[in-house]
Formats: sequence, C-alpha cells, structure tokens
Amino acid sequence: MRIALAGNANVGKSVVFNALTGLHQHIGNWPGKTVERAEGTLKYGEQTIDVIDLPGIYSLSSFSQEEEITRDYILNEEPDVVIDVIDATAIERNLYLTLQLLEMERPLIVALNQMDLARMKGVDINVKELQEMLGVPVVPVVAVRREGLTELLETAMSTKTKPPRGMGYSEAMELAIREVQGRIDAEGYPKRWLAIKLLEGTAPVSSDIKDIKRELEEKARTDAFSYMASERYRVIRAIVDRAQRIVEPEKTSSERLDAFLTDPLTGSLALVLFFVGIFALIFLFGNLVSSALENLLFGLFTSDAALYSLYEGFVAGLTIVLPYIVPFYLLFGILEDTGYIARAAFLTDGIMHRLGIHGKAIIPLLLSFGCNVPGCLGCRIMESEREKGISIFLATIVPCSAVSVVVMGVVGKTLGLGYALLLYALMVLVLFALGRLAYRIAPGEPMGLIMEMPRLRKPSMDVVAKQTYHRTMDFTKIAFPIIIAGSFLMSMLSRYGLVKPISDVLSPITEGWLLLPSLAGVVLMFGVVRKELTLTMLLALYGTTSISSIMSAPQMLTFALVVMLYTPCLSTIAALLKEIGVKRTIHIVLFETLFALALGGVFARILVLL
Amino acid sequence: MLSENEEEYLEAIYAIGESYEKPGIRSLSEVMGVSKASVSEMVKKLNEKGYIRHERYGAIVFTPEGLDIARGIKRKHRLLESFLYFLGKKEVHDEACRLEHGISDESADAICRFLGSPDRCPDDGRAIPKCGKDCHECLKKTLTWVIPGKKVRITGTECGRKASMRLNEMGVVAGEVVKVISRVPHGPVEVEVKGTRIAIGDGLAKKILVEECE
Ligand SMILES: Nc1nc2c(ncn2[C@@H]2O[C@H](COP(=O)(O)OP(=O)(O)O)[C@@H](O)[C@H]2O)c(=O)[nH]1
Repeated sequence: MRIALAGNANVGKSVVFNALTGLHQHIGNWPGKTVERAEGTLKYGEQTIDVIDLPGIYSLSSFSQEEEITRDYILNEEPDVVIDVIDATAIERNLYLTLQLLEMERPLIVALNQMDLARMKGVDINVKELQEMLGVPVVPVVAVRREGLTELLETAMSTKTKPPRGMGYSEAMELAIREVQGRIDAEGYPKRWLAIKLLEGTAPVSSDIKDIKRELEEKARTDAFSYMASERYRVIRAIVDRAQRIVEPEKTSSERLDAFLTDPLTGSLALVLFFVGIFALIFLFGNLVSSALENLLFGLFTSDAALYSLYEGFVAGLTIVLPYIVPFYLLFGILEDTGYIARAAFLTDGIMHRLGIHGKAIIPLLLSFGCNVPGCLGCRIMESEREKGISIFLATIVPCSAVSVVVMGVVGKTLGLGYALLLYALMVLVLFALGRLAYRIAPGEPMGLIMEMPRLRKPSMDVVAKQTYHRTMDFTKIAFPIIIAGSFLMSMLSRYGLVKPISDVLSPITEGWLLLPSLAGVVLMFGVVRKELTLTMLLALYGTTSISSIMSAPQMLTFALVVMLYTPCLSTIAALLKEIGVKRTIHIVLFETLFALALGGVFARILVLL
Repeated sequence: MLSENEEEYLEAIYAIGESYEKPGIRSLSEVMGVSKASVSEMVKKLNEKGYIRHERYGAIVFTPEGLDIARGIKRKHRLLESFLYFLGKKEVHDEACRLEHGISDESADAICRFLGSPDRCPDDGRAIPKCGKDCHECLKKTLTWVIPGKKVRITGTECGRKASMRLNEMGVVAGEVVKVISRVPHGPVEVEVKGTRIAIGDGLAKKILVEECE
C-alpha cells in the first residue's frame, strides 16, 4: 500500500511524515529534478505501508518543478491514498489545493493539522461539517504531539477505494466544463480535471475548445484562470463560513517579535547581528575543529605509501563535513523552522533585486563567505530554477574562509590589510557585474517575489535533527568519493614527477599571460582540492616561509585575485553536481576558470603599468 | 537656477495673462507692488536669460521655457493652496507663496495624487495647470500606496500572466479584502490574505490595483 502526503509549505507535513515513518526513511532527489524526495515505510499490523512526502506547494497549476512532481506522481504513480495535510489555522488558503486534489479523483483524506494552534488562536472548526462539505474524511491531528495519527492511518486503510467527487462551481463554469468534457479524450486522466485545466489554460489548449473558453471569459468578464480562482475561493468561502468559527480574535505574543523583525530599521539591525553571529560561529568553530581534526588524524600516522593519499582525502572530507557542513545544516534548519528565513528575505528583497535575484538569496550568499558548500546547498530555498541557478552561480564566486586565508596570507601579511580589502571591494564589484549578467542570460522569466511569511515559532528539534542528519549523509555520499579521488590523483602526479612537466605545459598561461612564477600553475591545480593548499604548497615548493621571496607585489595581487575567482573547489563542485547537475556544473567551472584567467591577465598588466 | 523673486515675476506674468490682459511693465508693477523702474530692470534680466521677450510695443510674452517654468510654479502654488485648504487653513495664499519655491516636483505630484488630481483651486476657482502626464495612470492606487495597518480591496492586477496566476492562487483575487501588515521602503509589502501572510516584491506590488474600503 502506498500513501502520498501532499499539502502547502509549512503545514507540518514533514512532522507527519517523520511521525509516521520514524527512522525508516530515505531522502534523495526526484529523478531528473533538484527537489528533495523523502520516502519511508511503516508497519501497520502485518502490512508494510510506503509513505512518500510530496513537495510543499500551494496549487497544482504546474508552474514549478514541485507542482509538476506532485501532479505527475498522483496521476501516473496512482498512490492508494493521498493525505492532504492542511493547516487548521489557515484553512481558507489551504483548501485551494484541496479542491484541486479532489478533482484528480484519487482517494483523498484531509489531515487537519495544527489543531492545537487553531484552538489557541480561537479558530473553532466543525470537523463533521467540513467532512460533509468536502465529501472526504477529515481527521484532526496534532502532529507534533502525535495526536490523531493512528486514526489517520486507520482512515487511510479503509478509504482506499472510494474516489472523491469534485466541487460544483457556478452555472457558467459548469456549463463550460461540461462542454469541454464532451469534446475531449482524456486518455485515462480524470476528464473533469483535464477539462478544468484546459479552460484555465494550465494545460496546452487544443484549438477546438477555444470558443468555449472565449464564451466563458465573456460571461465572466475576466480571464478564465482568475475566474476559476475566484470560483474556487467562492466555494471555499461557503465551506469556511459553515465549518469555521472564529471564537475570539487572535491573541498574539509572537506578533510583536514579528513586527520587530520585519521593521526596516530594527529588523535590519537584527539581521546583521544574526548573520555576523552565525558567520563568526561557523567560521570560528569550523576553523578550530577543522585544524584540531587535521592535527589529530594526520598525527596518528604518516606514510609515503600511495594509499596514504586516500586517507588524506578522507581526512580532508571529514574536515569539511564535521566542522562546516553539520553546523551549517543545523543552524540553517533551525532558521528555516522558525520562519526567520522569510523575514530576512523580506527585508533584503529590495537590495538583492539589484543583484538580479530575490531576497531569499541573501542567506546562501552570506553563508558562502564561510564555506561555498553550504552556500550552494542553501540555494535550494530559491523557488524557481532560474533564481536557484543565478544564486548558486553567485554563491560559488563569494570568497570562502579558505580563500580568505590565502588572501590574507599572500597579500594582507606582506602588503597590508588595505590591499586585501581592495581585492574584496573588487570582488563585490565582480559579484554585482556577474549578477547582472546572469540576470540577463539565465533562461526563464524573472518573476517578482511572492512568498508566504510563515508564522514565527519555536523550532521543532526533532524535525531539524532529522533533516540535518539526512542532508549531511546525502552530501557525504557525493562529496567523499570526489574529494578522495581528487587527492589521490594529485598525489599520484607528484609521486611520478609530473609536477615539473605540468608547470612547463601551463607556463604560457601562468608566466606568459598572468606574469606569475612558473610553479604557480601546479599550485593552482592542487588548489582545486582545497583552496588553502595554494598557499601552503607554494611555500613548500619553494622551500621558504616568506611569500615576498617568491613573488613581487603585483604578482601577489594577481595570484590572490585568481585564487579568489577561479574554479570552485572539489567539495563545492560536488555540491554543485548534486544541486544543478553535470552540465551546468561544467559550465560554471569553465566560465569561472576562464573568467579568472582573463581578468587576472588584464589585472596583471594594469598593475605593471601602475 | 532662478531666484525666488524671478520666479514670483514669472508667476505674476502668467497670472495677468490668465485674466486675458496683456502683461506689461505697468500691470506688473501694480501686481507686484513695486516701482516701474525695478520692474523694467527685472524684465530686462528675464529677457536676457531667455524666459520672456519684451516686445517693442510694450507687451511681455513668454518663451516656451519661460512658460513651462511659470506654469510649473503656478501649479505648485495652487496645489499647495488646495492642500492647505484641505488641512483646514483659511488664509492659504501667502503660505503657498512661500512654500512653492521649496517644494520638489515629485512632492507636488504626490500632493496632486493625494487630492485626486484637482482641476481648480478651492479658494478662487482658478485652473490648476496639469503636469502633462496621464492623470488616469497616476491616480491608480496600488498596493505600494497603502499605509501599513490599513485594509484595502483588490480590484485587479496588471502584472504578467504567471505572476498574476500565482497571486490568484495565494488568495489575491479581485474583490478580496487584504490587510497591509508592513512594508520595506523600495522593498516588498507584507499583506494578510485568507488568514495567511504573504510578502509581495516591490515590482509586483506596484501592479496590484486596490481601492479603499471601510
Ligand atoms: N503547534 C503545532 N505545530 C506544528 C504541528 N505540526 C507541525 N508543527 C510545526 O510546524 C512547523 C513546520 O512543520 P514542517 O513539518 O517542517 O512543515 P512542512 O513545510 O509542511 O514540511 C514545525 O516547526 C513544526 O514544529 C502541530 O500539530 N502543532
């Protein structure tokens, strides 16, 4: 038996999913998509039940990957029951999706979640009435306290064969739907559902219904889609009027905090403090733990064996995952679950638009200053593919803490902090310029921000912990093989004396174009494994501790700039592969490398002229 | 840049012209309450600056630039008068005379929009010169105009198809009453709709038409 969970974002779907499946979960991606897919199993008596957590969506008009996934899953995979999780404190908006799900004619159960909060807010829902009006079972649930879940399961087991009927709309609409139904061949899909989609214009319109649509639009004096939306909301209004009573006006303790956090002045201040705090935390904690781990694990034993490099790669991976990735996922998950991320996006949307993206991207971009990996992974909060692509691209350009170590070690220490800051200023300019460029050339249509502002609340540590665990494991599976293989390859190169030949091959670029010392080429290559290696290797290869004995001042600046800009490191590439696939990862790596070389060469020549 | 005094002269010439008289040294000296000698001097100066032409037989006519400026100042003057009148002031002329030189075009336009693009001054019934833009466009109330805390009714959207569909689905449909919760300057607007809150980016909010409701 298979159960699918559907519903709006922030209704408590993950909590229901976790409560149902416990630890028997598998988190991955939907095939060919960049959307998280969570699947799990549970035992009910003798029976094994598969539960799939569909992505959070507001409607089924198929604008987004998430909506497409949900639609295709329900129609093509035909789960035995769909459980629509709705938020009892906002049923009016939530029922919009419910009506659409009803039209898909799969057995449906409504899980009326967050009943505790609804009661607190003085929202009184007559479950019987709601059930009668919707024509499907409605089960009140408090997922965080596991209340009502058994009943939900029992209902799911018993209703699996009864498909629901849709809602009736206005006469004009029903007439149009009937006429369309009479003309189409639904090829096994629910006919009424397809007819409505054709009228709405959310399925490609075949020409022979255009006249019906036009007639409807004339009668409604608006376009068919907004008419349908209004109709749905009219029906919902009627349901809500009968099934819901507001007993007392909402009393609001979090309201004041919310007002404080979204106020342009106090909110911005809080935002800056928050992120400086988080940044400092991840940076300090990360550096501390990462060097401690390195000392510990490399201190255990050393060897010249070829296999030792595999161990080195493993340690390198560990020093990324434990100190940076885990805390990131944890903090990020907490922020996500409190609803704060929406507030941060709200405040910064105006500014971020100049970069060509939504306010939401502020979070991954800021995190990228610590480490690009969480930055890239954080871009999944962007709602459209386009926005996600642009912000991931920008996130890989932000100089991470390892790059900062190089910039400080090469430029800051010898030429002074001022020059280092100059490089950072240049980076910000580059970021804006590339943001604009990406805005122009990225495929898809830019769309303004439309984002739900979820209620502020205490995070559920259960949800956060599970998410952190699954996301970390997920990352590890992809990143470790790449990092280990990368280190192995690099150590093989030096073992078989290929360092010098490679430098010679690269010398037209390094010496000829970038005006750098010849060994810089090899160093930059090894830097792909981990960026801070560029500095340590450079010093090691020349057998010195002073940069100024290797490079002149202009060379230092050029070198630092190239390190800042060129290809993302292996861990970031792993994250990119996971998030945006092979093709676009290659595009980003190639573009950034070529861009760094081009800009570096020009920069070097300008420096020489000065 | 013109001095306040120069602006006052241009305004006076405009006002005399409005009452179908020929502005000349004498009528100006009467209106401004100064000697003909100082009027002549100022007229000469404005003539040299290219805002007016002093014809040989004594009449003063505007150049196109001069007329633009004079109209603009008169517009500000009368809008300010109307506004002060709206605020409950009785003696509005002198105060408007002082304010008109300091107020920016944008603020004057905002006052115009606020008053619903009035045609005539409430005190003497004279015509308020228009700014030349489409009043209908300008008077449209959008979501970005609403003061946080107020409720408004959605009357329509003028954004792209996708965005408008998305808004529809989130409950922003024509006829719906929404409450504006907060707004970031040049940033998004937060509204309460159907028991939930959503943030709408600045660009989109500018395309959502609303009307006041009680
Ligand atoms: N008070 C209360 N909070 C809940 C309930 N169910 C979920 N939540 C909270 O709602 C938030 C969002 O839940 P989540 O499952 O992440 O939402 P999703 O986006 O639908 O997956 C979490 O902070 C939960 O703790 C409930 O029944 N009562």
